[in-house]
Amino acid sequence: MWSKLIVDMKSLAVTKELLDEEYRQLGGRGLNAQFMMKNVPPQCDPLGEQNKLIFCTTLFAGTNFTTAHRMSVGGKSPLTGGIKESNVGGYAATLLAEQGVKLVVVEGLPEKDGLWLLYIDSKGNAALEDAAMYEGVNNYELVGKLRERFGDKIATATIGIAGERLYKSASVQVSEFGSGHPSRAAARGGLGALMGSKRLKAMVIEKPKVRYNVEYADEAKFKEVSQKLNKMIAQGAQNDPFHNIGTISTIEVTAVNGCLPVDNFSGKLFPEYKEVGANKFLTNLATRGGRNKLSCQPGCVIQCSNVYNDKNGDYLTSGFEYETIAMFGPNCHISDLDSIARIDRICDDLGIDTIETANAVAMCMETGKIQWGDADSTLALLKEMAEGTEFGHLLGNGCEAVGKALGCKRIPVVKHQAMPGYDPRNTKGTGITYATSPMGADHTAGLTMGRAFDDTGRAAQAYASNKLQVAMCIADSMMCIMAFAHVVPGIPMLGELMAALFGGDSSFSRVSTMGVKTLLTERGYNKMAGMTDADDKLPDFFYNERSAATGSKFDINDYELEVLFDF
Amino acid sequence: MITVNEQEILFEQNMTVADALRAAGEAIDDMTLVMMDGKVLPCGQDHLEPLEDGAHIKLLPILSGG
Repeated sequence: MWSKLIVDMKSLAVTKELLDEEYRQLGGRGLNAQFMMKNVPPQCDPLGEQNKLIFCTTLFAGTNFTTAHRMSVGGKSPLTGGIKESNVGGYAATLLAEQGVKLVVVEGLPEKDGLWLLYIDSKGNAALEDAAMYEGVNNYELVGKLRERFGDKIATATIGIAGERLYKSASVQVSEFGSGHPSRAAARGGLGALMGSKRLKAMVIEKPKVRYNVEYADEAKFKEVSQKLNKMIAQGAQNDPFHNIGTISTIEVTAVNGCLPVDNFSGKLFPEYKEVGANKFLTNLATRGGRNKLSCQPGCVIQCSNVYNDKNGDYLTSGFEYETIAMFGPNCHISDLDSIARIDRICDDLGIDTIETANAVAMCMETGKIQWGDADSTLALLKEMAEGTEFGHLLGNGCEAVGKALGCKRIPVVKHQAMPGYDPRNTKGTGITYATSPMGADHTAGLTMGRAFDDTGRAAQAYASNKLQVAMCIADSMMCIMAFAHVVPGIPMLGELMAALFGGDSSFSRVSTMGVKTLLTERGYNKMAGMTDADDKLPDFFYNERSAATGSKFDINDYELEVLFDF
Repeated sequence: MITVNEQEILFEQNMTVADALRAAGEAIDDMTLVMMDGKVLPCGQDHLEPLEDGAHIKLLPILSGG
């Protein structure tokens, strides 16, 4: 039977219990939603005693289903004030599953000063240990020290200075499979600040001596169906640009169709996009000993990860992704890929969300605090975050905080969370997702680009967003969304997979019901937290300013948004 | 001979990428990257790039967000 760990930061005790019956057929985002609704008061202070930090594995964790080992990090968001689930690749979920742990709940606040780490050893014992010696240590150095202390058969989830300082853009960084680099980020919504408020510096999971065996209702059937799905995903990956190149490949499309944000969502095109595009990236990898087609978690067949080296061939960063490149690149008018890679490394090290921070930097550029395209000044701003200056703290609290402080009129946030790398005027279904997702502006909640009849038209946009928001709730509960895209032709098999694991109904309606229930639970939670229809809107400038690239405005009316979730 | 997604196509003089895609029966949309010999070709164009014998073309449709 799966276990859960309750980490009580008040008493500094860790207890291991059997997982509650009600959570056994849930995982990832779905589990997070139901747990939050039942156990975390929606109106609690996100950094206070009543909020809980949740780590959990997916529905299919512990099995051989590809990409089943993403880790969901959840809680009430310090940034949005609503429910938050941010899932991440890396090695942590694999080792949690091997330990037989489905859910880790960190609750309460310590009564004394200090920092602690949660250590789950190879025998399955879990305890809090003193981590005061790591105060002020950022993620790369921290993980190096943890590997010295505990060996290299570990996975880690850590916070850097940003989390310790409770920056609302703080991430939880998870170590990659193989290298151990803390470059995989549960980035969105400031969950690193929630971890910091608990004074939990790290979770260290050791590879267990005895691996937990998953209990199947019908193991043979599960293997039969999962092998078919794994094969389908692997075949799809062969022609997936994320496998062949990396997620940076998206820029080749968005730079042309007007979805790529440029100069704080000005709607302009970025003629220099090839400087931060796929060919530049591939050339730099090939000439500097970098690599793509890497798995961030064992068994992943998408392999969209990479290692990006500097001009001397030395490691600079990994998991170097489209969002970071789009938002620090064209949206800040920076056209030097190496500078963006340096920025990415620093963000991972400090433990901050690159999307939130890039948008915050764009606020500085829009208001003239620094110049457009000035990578050195951007690095200087990040240094302020590291040093904890007054402006560094402001930057750490994200785009909206900086925009308001500097008097910026165009602040691209929804539910206080900054927008990712798709201009909502030119992919309007994605704009609907930004507006209505319980997560705030989040492309992973339902990116419709290329899915509706016409990305800049109005027809079917709400329909596409609705369907994809449900689909992403399903994906986030069981696997990586990159792999999920290849499952679509065989999507009924997900019902068979659930039945083979848990027993019962094998129809797809079991799966789709879980997705709808998750989405409605999250929206219900946000409503109880005080959010209203007014929070389901984009900033005014998207309704009023035309995209220079296409002439499109965001002209989806309020009624279309209000009825979106009338299932 | 050239290949389009593992399909072999007979090379002809003055052949363009667009010709090869037509010969292979492949239609591309705005969400599909065309990669030739390891390089991504610019999107949103007619793909009139000239081909050389032995070229490898791969069509890579973007299916999800990065």
